[in-house]
Amino acid sequence: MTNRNDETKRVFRFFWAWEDEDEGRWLAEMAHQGWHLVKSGFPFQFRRGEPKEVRYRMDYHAREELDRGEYLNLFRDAGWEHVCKYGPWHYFRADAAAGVCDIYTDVPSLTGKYRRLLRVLVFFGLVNLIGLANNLMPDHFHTDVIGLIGIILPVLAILLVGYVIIRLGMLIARLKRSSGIESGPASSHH
Amino acid sequence: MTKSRTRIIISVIDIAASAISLIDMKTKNSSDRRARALLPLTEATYWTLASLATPRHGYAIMQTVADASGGQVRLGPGTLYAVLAKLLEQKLIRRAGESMSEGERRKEYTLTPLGRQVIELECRRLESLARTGRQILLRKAGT
Repeated sequence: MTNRNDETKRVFRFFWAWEDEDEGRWLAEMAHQGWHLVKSGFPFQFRRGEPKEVRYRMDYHAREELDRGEYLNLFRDAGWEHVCKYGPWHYFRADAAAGVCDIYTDVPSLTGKYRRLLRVLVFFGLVNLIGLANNLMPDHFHTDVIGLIGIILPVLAILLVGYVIIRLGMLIARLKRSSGIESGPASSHH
Repeated sequence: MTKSRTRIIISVIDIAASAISLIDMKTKNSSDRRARALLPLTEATYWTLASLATPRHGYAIMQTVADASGGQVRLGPGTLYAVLAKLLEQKLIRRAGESMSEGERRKEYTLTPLGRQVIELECRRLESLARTGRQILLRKAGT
């Protein structure tokens, strides 16, 4: 039993940025089976433990508006354990039975999480667009392999980023319409 | 007949209310206009500002709001963080040193004069909305 706690496993699974709710549900299901998240990323790392009913939430901050300590204290005081950080994504965990309220309790701040990501993507997309326009200029244009790469790479990046932007936009619109988040304590934990 | 009378009464109330707010606005200075431009507040912003009339750290804000609203309103840490960051940026609140909570340091925040003005204006706006709304509903029931 004791050395079972040292057992770890890696799982390769990919989630898009707009699927963080699905990701949270999947992580909770893993915890239900006794696999607790240690590190996110590709792959995810889990450690074997007692099966537990927990909730996972992800938050996105590319830039730290207040300092890290203030941020983490706020979550810890509210009952959310900081599990790990994957790039700008912070992973939090709370006991499902503890009646801890959700990390976002209103629509503007919840959509704000995705809008912050959207801003970064729009910037990235624009940089690629400028690069592409530059590579297509007559005096820069080459018909060799390097010239081709200079066109294909930014086009692929723009298509990918564009797709993510559209999906995030759809998610934001859906959240605004439904406002289906737990705002009060009575809505879910009693 | 009663319908049109109700309509007249409603429009009289409307005119009176807008006249009052017009007079109200004319008497105010520019910082007041700045404060007014930030209204209406989201509920989370409203409760956060209201609770910072005295210096408090983050978790104390959550507890104060939950207590004051009788458990009706709860602020999640992600929401509160976003609200605090925005209020600091808008200079409606400022840092007010640190306090010890359960043996740990916690940064505290409190209202700036502008922040106090904003929350007071919002309280007045909501009061006048509620008053006018109630009056209209009462008149309707009476006819």
